[in-house]
Amino acid sequence: MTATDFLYPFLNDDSTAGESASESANERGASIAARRSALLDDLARSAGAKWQASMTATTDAVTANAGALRAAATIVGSAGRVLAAGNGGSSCDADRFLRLLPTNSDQRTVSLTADPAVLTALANDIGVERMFARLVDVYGQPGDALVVFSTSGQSPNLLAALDVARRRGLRTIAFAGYGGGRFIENADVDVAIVVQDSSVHRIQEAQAALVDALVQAVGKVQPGRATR
Amino acid sequence: MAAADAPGETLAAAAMAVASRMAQGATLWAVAPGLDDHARHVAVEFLHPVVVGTQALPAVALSGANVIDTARRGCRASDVAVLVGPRTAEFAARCRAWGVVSIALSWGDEASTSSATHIIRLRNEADAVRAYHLLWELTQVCLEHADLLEPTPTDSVCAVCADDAVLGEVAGIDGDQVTLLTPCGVVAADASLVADLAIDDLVLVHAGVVLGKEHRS
Repeated sequence: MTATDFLYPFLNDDSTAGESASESANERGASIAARRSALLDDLARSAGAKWQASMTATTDAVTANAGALRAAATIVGSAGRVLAAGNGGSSCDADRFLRLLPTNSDQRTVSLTADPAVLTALANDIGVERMFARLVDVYGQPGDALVVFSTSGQSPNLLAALDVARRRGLRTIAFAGYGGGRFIENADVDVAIVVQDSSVHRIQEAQAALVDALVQAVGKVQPGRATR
Repeated sequence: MAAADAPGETLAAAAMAVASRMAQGATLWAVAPGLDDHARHVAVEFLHPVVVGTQALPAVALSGANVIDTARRGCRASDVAVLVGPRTAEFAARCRAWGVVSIALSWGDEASTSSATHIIRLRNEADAVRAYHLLWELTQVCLEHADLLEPTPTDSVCAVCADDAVLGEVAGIDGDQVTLLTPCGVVAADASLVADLAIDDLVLVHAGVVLGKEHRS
């Protein structure tokens, strides 16, 4: 078994095993080219099916979160500043949200992962578990909104940031997969936007569509905003 | 979108190219002009995979205003670049000159004119995350079939001295003689046909002669 067997299980069906040892180099080359071509055909088919499944799951996630998205749009639309954070690929999703967010002249956005100097200073001196909490403490003011992105809903540094946000009077929105993890039934979270999936990639693909739906909804509650 | 419209074939071919070069030690460079979050997402995907047991591969995101200058200092021939977005044609052309294999995840008009090695056409920005996730998954599968990876070209004839005109990037100028970065390495060429060449210009070169500047909009 290899690490990606669960992604592409059909590849274990090795019908070309047991080639003759007397095969010439040319035949071997031709055989490898044929097997590479068969592999590419299998991968293309599988990727096409996954693409389609992801599109369907994404649409379902937006439908299932319709109420949460409306509530989140109201929070974002009325916030002073919008702070966003995530770890790894989810930090990119957080930055994408801020990039797409329609803003009016009164509103500002702050990415908590924008500056490597700040992040490495905090990670080195107070630890990764407190780094976002510290930044919420520094940037956050009552009336602001904190939007966090996670696939697991378990990230300790995001849970700590939500806790500080609650204490400082920010409204909070939390994106998570895996049924929501510790972001649901959490007193520090005003709105949880949840994907019912357990594949990190499929969760993030759904979250990208949920972000698109959220920024559209913000445009509707604040019609004067410039959509990007 | 119907399943037939999913870019399965182009993703599979691109993944084979990425895996074949990364198995030989290539570094992956991710670039997304104006959409830096996508570049960072691609790089972290390859460098720190979410699936336990898959290979962690060297990947770097380039961001900011001068990605081409930064890439010129970092990219080696036979490295790989993943380009995301509607404005990557200039970078793809540089990749040609540097000998870097480029994968463009493109939407908009540029998708049809890009000189990227592999072009994966997307409907819009919302498809990008899905596309690079699948590119990563397929790359990992290809890496586990080491015997099926594409061989590195051997006994290749230098295209600068042969039948093809290729893109080169001006690295040095001495009168009518120039030094060029090309897909076959650093070469000297005669530039007497072309006026006003400057360092970093992209040119078309054939049989050791610079034919003209490559103008890109």
